[in-house]
Amino acid sequence: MSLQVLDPRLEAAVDGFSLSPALRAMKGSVVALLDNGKVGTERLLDQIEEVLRSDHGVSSFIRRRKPDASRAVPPSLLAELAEADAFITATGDCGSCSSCTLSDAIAAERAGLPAVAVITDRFQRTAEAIAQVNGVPGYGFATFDHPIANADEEGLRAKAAVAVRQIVPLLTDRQLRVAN
Amino acid sequence: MNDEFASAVLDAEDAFEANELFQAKGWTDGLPIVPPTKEALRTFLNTAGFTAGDLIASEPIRRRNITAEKVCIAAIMAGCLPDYVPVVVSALRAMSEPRFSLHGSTASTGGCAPMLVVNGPVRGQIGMNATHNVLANGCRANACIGRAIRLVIMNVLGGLPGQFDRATLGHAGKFTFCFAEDEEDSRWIPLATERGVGAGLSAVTVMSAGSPHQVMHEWSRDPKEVLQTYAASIRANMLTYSPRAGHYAMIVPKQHRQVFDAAGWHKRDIREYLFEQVRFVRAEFGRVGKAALAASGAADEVLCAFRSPDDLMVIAAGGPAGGFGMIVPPWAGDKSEAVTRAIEGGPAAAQRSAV
Repeated sequence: MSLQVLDPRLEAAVDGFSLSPALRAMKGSVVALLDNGKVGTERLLDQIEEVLRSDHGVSSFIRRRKPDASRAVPPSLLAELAEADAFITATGDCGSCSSCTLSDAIAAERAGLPAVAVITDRFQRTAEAIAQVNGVPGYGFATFDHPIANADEEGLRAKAAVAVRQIVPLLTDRQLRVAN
Repeated sequence: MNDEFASAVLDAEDAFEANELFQAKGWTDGLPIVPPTKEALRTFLNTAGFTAGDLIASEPIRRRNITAEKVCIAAIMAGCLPDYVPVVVSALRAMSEPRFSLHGSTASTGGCAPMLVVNGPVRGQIGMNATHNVLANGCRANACIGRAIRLVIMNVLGGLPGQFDRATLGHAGKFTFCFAEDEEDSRWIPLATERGVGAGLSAVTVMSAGSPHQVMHEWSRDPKEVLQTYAASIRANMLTYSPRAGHYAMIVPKQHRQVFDAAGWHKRDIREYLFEQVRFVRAEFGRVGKAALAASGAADEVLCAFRSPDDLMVIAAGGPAGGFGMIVPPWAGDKSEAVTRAIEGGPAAAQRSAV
């Protein structure tokens, strides 16, 4: 007589959800930038803003900072950012902030905005797990080399350039969902 | 098919093979498990007064609705007795309050562990330890309740290392970190009573705890001198880990309690004295290689470990001999608040209704 044992795992409560429509063009668009408040994020977003403005013709930005990198974006803050045409959130370079950065991008998608999360490469598995529990396995995000906190200006500029090369197609071509 | 419970059923030859199966699937903390059978699950649910589908807590980032069934499976696996379940359930409910930041604190590279402190009659009813070797091995209830919390984080919340658990190092408390306050041998007000639970009720306090740091002081009868040693540990944590203010725990053994008792010092006196001691000016960071932190504000800005004296949780526990105390630092200051909850159900409820 064998023993019958029970699976201890609990599946995520996944609900129906589809990606927002693609951004038609970067040029002339209004882009929301959500800063998660981690060291270096504001400077990184300055660089991303600069590249998006000068190289891609983004006309304006709505920038906000999250009160806590380890928690989801508060609904009132998300509502302010939802005035934009697209949503970018950065950065994830730790366990709780990477998962929340991904989670915030998906919350923006649920609110109707094409969105991209920017994280460092060492948190890819964590980001993929967040996509999975939200019912969008394969949801794309932008990555660059870890870490951010001790990067100098030149390093941040290079990371921003790498990020923008992924951000643009992720926002404008919704078929493209594979992380770099 | 298994209609009685939501969980899938797996076959194993015997308990040994069941453990091998769970090890292979990554469903344990590395230590062997007690096989969670349907029979055991029925006993645990019935004893604790739950039905399988009862919702215990939710975690919104990982989108988990935690049922009594899954909590009891974790408790069985951890080696709990059914009477421990109300403590495990109350701890999980405390941890699911938003101010605890359950997702963030258990995902963090900072690698903290939920620390459970139990007060009230449940301690005696289930045989918890508050004295010798209190933070370590030797007591089934302490060990298995803390372990059940870890197995819930792993299997129910998906807190697998490298996935939703991104701890760089972690610490030993992530296997289990649960103990009782020594109320019987202390003149002080119990922790849970200080934190708002009615006197005489059972309760659990949960804190996102960094690795604890032991201090030693055996040479003084002056409470201030003893406390200056604890203060040095807290300042060291601020300097070497994080200055972010929040809940700290201070575990005070009998030998130190006798010093405070002789001087007429209660927990409040300790908190108020330490509140003045656990501070330094920002420029101090320059002495520990953190020039960027030193420069991130005014050099003479005063940083304090506590937002108010009440951030310090003073807990009586430990063996009768030895001037060894413990400072347990927070994961990330006020990003995770310690939460205290009365324990409902089980032996604790029986005790309450009998009063």
